Amino acid sequence: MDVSIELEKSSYPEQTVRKSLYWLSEDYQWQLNETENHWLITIFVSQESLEKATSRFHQLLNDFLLRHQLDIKTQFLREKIIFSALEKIANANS
Amino acid sequence: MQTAEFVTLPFFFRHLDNRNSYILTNQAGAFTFLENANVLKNVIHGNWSSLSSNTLDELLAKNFISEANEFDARKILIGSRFASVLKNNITEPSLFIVIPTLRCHHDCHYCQVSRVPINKKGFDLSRSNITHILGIIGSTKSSSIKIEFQGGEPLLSKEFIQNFVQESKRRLSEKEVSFVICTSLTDINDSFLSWAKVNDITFSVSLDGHEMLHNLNRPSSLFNTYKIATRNIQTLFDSIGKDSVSCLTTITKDSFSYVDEIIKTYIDMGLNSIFLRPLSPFGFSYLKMDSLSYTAYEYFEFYKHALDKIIALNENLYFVEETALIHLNKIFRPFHSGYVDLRSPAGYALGALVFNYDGNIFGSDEARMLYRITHNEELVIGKIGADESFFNHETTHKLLSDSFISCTPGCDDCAYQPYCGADPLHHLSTQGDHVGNKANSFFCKLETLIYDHLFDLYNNDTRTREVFDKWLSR
Repeated sequence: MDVSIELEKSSYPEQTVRKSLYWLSEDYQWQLNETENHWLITIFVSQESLEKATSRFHQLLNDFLLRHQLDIKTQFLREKIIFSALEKIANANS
Repeated sequence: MQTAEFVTLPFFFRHLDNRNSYILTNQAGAFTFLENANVLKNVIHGNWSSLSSNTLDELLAKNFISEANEFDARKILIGSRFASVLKNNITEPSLFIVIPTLRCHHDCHYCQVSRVPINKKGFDLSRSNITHILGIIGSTKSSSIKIEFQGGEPLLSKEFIQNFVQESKRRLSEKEVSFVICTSLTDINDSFLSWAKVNDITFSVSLDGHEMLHNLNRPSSLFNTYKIATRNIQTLFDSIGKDSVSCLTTITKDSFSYVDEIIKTYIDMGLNSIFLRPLSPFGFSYLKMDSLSYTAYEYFEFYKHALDKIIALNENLYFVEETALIHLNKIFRPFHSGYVDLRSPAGYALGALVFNYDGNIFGSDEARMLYRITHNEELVIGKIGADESFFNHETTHKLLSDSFISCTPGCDDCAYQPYCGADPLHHLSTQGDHVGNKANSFFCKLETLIYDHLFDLYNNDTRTREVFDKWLSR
């Protein structure tokens, strides 16, 4: 049995969808297609795993969407922290 | 509290399934817990007035958020802490593994190094290599080092080991050197014991459980391996002292049914710690993966059950589970952990060097194990006696550059990134590349389950927290 999920591209960035599917691979096979405005996801599951698979995907999707929103606020800072750390190490070794 | 001026600092988070809560961590190694997704959303979206003053205080204290006027100072603080951990991992090696021989009289099904029978010729390291090896060790900057003799069964080459140690004391007099022999203790005798005592040699011994299980996991056609191991551990206790021996347990599928017997064997031997570890995907266990292997979930169920029992035992005695302590050290004492695994970048060549019986030099023990079954020359980063820098070897560069987990897929947004590390050889062996797909990684799954469990216990069980604190103060 397959589960088909349609998500609006305006609400779910590609990276959020792909990262969620990356971790879903642990338990399920899936396929990702797209139209101009939508992500079309198919998860291949047995009838008895249907609810569990759907729930797992939405949990991952919500968490990665939150991470995306957090990244918008803090990614520049995270990169700055890593850059300054590497610079500190390079200076200490030079 | 005035709540308008906060700024969100970068952090990682993870949903904890069993309590439906979230753990937050950051690059400074701090962690905290939020009770549900709504609180997490409020933190991310800056809805400060929706958060309790306790939550705000905790987030401020641990640098998950900042008051606007403290932003630069907190940014520097997180950066400095991150740099210190990173710098701590970018070192010159302090662990040197020497393989005097690959011969062994055990027939362990899971042998990671693919040992050869005791009479086989061509599997011993020549004494003429000692000077070259010590030259390499002497040229490294680490002032405090450990030299481990592994095999095969290194005690089949006692004379080599004795020569090596004597020569080390002369050539490495400016370094603080400790010596460990990783052995089944089969070939120990009185004169070697006396020599070991004088030279402060310690022993690392495999003890897989009670007699039936140990002999099943570690058979020999020549003798009862359990009886020899336990008798000689006792001999070492009596002649050198209890601190001279540490034991480790490799967990097979057969071990799963014998949690109590495994722990009881260690307690009865008078040991005060046990190191439970899963099979590694190298050597014979790699070749027999279908019949020997288990999933990370199956192993973790065993491990959790064993850890619960060990924690309960600590009501009345001091008995450490070393895997848990390694992980607790990564969380609470990142600069005190001498463990060469669980590092980012990986400890490959930075933490250890391996001098193999055939003259090859490897950047980790796992690399020599993988070379033995694949003969992949890219794994060899040098030859004993050749004048070359293995730190500049292409394999070393490639492998290390793939092992910064702050920028590898699957790790880059993991909440356990500040405490975890890369295992490029595990992924090379199981998936064919250094990074691996973490969704299908035994290593990643097991590490995640262990950290989930340890954080859960630490945060929710006062009695366990006391036990962990006691272990950490060792």
